[in-house]
Amino acid sequence: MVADIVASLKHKPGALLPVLHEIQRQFGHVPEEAVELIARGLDLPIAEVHGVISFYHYFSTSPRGRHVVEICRAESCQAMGGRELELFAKQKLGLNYSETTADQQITLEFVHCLGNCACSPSVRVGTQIYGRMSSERFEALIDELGAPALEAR
Amino acid sequence: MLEYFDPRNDIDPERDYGTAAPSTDPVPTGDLVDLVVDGAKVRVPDGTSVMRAASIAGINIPKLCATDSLEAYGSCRLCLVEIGGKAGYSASCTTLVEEGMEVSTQSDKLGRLRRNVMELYISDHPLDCLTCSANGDCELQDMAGIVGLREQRYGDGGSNHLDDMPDGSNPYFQYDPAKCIVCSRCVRACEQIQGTYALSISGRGFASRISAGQGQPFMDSDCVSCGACVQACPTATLTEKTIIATGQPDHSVITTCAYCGVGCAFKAEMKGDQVVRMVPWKGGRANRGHACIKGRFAFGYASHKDRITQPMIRQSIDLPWRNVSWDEAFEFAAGRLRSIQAEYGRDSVGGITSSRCTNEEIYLVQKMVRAAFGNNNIDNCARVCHAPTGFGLKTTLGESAGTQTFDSVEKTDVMLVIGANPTESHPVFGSRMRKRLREGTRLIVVDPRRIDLVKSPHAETAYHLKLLPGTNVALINALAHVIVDEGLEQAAFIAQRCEREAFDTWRTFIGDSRHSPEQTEQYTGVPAEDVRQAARLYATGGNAAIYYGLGVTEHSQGSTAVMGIANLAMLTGNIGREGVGVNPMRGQNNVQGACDMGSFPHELPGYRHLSGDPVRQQFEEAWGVDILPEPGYRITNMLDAAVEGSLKGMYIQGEDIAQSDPNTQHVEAALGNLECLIVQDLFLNETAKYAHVFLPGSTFLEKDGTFTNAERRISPVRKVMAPASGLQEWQVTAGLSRALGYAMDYDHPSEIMDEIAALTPAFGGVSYDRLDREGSLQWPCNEDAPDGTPIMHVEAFVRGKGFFALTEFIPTDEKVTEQFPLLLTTGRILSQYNVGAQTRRTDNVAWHSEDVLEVHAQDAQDRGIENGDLVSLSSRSGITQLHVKVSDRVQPGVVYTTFHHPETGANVITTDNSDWATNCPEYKVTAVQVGKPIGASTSEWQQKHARFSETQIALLDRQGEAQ
Amino acid sequence: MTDAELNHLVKMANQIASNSATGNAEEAALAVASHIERFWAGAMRDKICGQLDQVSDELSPTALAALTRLK
Repeated sequence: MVADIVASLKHKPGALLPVLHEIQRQFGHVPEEAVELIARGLDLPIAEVHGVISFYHYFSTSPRGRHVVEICRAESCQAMGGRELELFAKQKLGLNYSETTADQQITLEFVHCLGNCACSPSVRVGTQIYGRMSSERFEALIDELGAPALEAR
Repeated sequence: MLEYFDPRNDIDPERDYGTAAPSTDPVPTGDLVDLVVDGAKVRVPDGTSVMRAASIAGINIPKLCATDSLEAYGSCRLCLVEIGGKAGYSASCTTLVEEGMEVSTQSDKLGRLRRNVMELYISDHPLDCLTCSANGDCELQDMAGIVGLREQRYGDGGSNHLDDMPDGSNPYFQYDPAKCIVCSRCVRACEQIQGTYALSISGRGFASRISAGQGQPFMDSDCVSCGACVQACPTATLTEKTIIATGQPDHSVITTCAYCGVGCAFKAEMKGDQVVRMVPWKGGRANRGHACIKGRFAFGYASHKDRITQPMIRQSIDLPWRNVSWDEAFEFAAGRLRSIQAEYGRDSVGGITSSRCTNEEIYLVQKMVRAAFGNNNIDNCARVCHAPTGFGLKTTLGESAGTQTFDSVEKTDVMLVIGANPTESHPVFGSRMRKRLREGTRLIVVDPRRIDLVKSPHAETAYHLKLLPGTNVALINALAHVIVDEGLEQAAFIAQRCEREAFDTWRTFIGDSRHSPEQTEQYTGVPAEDVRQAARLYATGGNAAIYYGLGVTEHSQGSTAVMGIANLAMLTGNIGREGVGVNPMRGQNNVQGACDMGSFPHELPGYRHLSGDPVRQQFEEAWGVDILPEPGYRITNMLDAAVEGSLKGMYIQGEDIAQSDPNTQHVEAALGNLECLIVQDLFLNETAKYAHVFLPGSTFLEKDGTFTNAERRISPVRKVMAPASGLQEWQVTAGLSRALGYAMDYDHPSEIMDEIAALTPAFGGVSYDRLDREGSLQWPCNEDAPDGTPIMHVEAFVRGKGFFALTEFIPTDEKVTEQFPLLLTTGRILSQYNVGAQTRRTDNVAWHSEDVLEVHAQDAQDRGIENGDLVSLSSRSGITQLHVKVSDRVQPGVVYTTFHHPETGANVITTDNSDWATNCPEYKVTAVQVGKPIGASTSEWQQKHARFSETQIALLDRQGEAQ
Repeated sequence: MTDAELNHLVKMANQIASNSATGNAEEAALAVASHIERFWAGAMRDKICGQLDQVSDELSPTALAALTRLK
């Protein structure tokens, strides 16, 4: 589990970040209980691990929805209707950023720059990036995500 | 005006120069750089920051995140200066001086920048200076004044942290995040000074906050309460609770800590005659401005309600105590001792000195025993800790003391730590070791347990040779064997500095294959390859230093192991300069001093044997008495004699043998047989419950004197308040001596030191005047070494040539059996000190309120025991019961506990096995069994002890009743 | 009671002896005798030497030789 992830990645230089990424990838977030295991496995102080996790907005310490929907808030996306998209998304989902739907399916987050500026505004779900987003396309995306999962995450 | 800065004279420990000196060498050896700051010419060593250079020239650039105990950080942006030829503004803390630099620290633009920075700080800070605990001692306040801040234009409508709640979880200090300016000094202090890394900054930007552990209260994190963060904090965010309660101190006195053998220098900050707080003094050369939870915070025992301040006597120990005057107590005690000697003989009385009392006090006790008792039955607690160091190093090197300074660790490339746990028993030095380890120095640890030093944050992986208790000599021999076998010895050093014949004999001895790692593995349990690699590292890794403690000495072959250690150092030429050496970690604040002062049955002050006529006659002349030329009883022998019935009287100064000495039931039997037990102490401790005379002692805050630490450093102890009992302890001993008919007329302890200096060559140059001027002195300090001796054996060993002693491994008699299949080893913990008499009477109990038994998961599982269970611990000496902590710090087959609480009776379990040469008890190896509790929750001994204790405390409460 | 102290002295003497072994029996006995003289209280030495006959079979050869010298 966490200990296995740490063991498999500790050889990498600056192993803490690859470990945190992998834990979040597998668990959906970085559980608070994992911090001590990470610290022990990497021979790092607990406070230091906590400091790194809390510094990066990307890492969440509380459980998140099955799908994490990230809306890009960088300049190009903002210039191409990103603000309207954001308003729509929040209304549609009834969420603010970093909040999760009651059925634990969707968490809304923001990012700064998905590197997809030519196709602004962009949204990412998991590892999938969607360009040229509009309110309609967003609604369709949410409906698709809400459908029962065809395969385990 | 050219300012040349002389680091020997011009560094003022009271000032904060902003950043540290580029090196800690007393005389800088690198290049010097000339620059101009605000028109003043300054010359400083290369590597100095602009801020420090300006400060040396008397120009104090405003700063908040910089302080000279920490590395420059460059975050507050207050210290910006203009440097000729450089664009923009440079942070003077992170900018190093360059030849010909022209710095300007003040200008209109700089002034505006600084005010803007301060304005931002104040926009998120409560403006309650007048009622804030930091009023009068706040750097934020100072900087606001210095930069001329007049307004805060951001208003109070924006986001702020003013409603953040304080964390008062730690009993000694408070963390108030509302006042935090996130300068990160606390985080950096915890990293760079203490080395615990308990703190971090969580979040970023405006959301940045200090986090202990995972944003936990301080008490729940890894924080060890050393207080470095509190000291570093420039605002009221981290403040001592005593300051909050009583306000700022009005004066301070420099003195020396009374806890461990590091001997930290402190400023006792006072209000009148009350100590408000103890702040480690930057000018202390043992601690350099750092401290631990005990020295800094645990001084409350001095005013605890258990403190006894009136002399008391009673005819027998089943009667209540009676308060009497000093004179009556002295007369009673002296009368009893004399009548005992008349009836049972000259040798029927003896004394034990305290390793926590001052040199002067100890000297007087051994003088009284020799002159007034007329015998040599005088010993001290080194008997149960470092006596083997005395024997072992005297035999091999010629002097029984550590060879280095603490500073020496800064030049060490390889540390070999044997049977010592520095981060818990010498914490301030443990922090310095960790600092050096973070710089890349390698570490070899020889210990049955995984001590915290093994896993130091940001250090290289250590070699941990996890041997079985009782096999030190086998392992040390194996290391030496490898060095000789693989041709890694320093032949030139040995030829020049050591006795040829002894070395040749030893070399043949150690070369035998029975000492090889392959053959000793069956005893030690350490894989041979690990031993070989460690030996190679020690021999070839550069400057290699050995640090060892009671895990070496408290064994049946303790003296042998010490000699083996000295052999290793001589074999590899690791002696006689900085960065190397043999470093016994002396446990108590003045155990070194007790040994130096001749508080031994066989030696006079200065480690000179009684049988030597010239020395003994010199003392006889000075003291006006004849001194018995034959050795007297050691503590162990005194107890044997008491049980047997030939020793009937004892004078015990500040030592609780009923708790600290092994085989408690034997000690109790001995004490119970005495007709006159005189105990001089602060509290009614376990030993005093058997006493007939109680003479109240004085704490280190209540007397003048000196302590000698593990570096042979003699430091002053200064009285900051009147002794609660009316007399300083040296006066008490003098009073008793007078009543015995031997006059001791001293007006001041400095006179006692003058007498010591006159009679002891190693102390010849020591005087209170010199200590006042120079802060501290390392002996030998005399004509040959007028400024003291930081490093010993530089050109020759004290005995001339070094002696290689033969060190055959003889396994201890204490073997595991079917009945007792585990090995118990004992030790101590950071927050409690020794028998806990002092620390149990402070808030330190919050960290360690009981002694627990650490058991490996395998052994626990085999016995159906879980974490937290009550278990019975038994040996051939006795049984006790305590709670279990399942831990992977111990290895299967080994269990561990501490001896800080009398109810636990850890020493009921330990045996009377001891070192062959010195009788130092084998605390570290006892065959035991651990099992479910037998019937009641306490063992028979514990119940008996509790009943006896209760009775004695009741008798104390009845003091003053008519008899 | 007396036996306990004497037993302890016997044990101590044997321990010193086994830790002073140099191969040469006479040198070893000398080393042990010298150690006892330097570090033991007179009363202890007198006690064990005074009862040497009773404890001679509990003492190792080196220890016995050393104490005999001191007697």
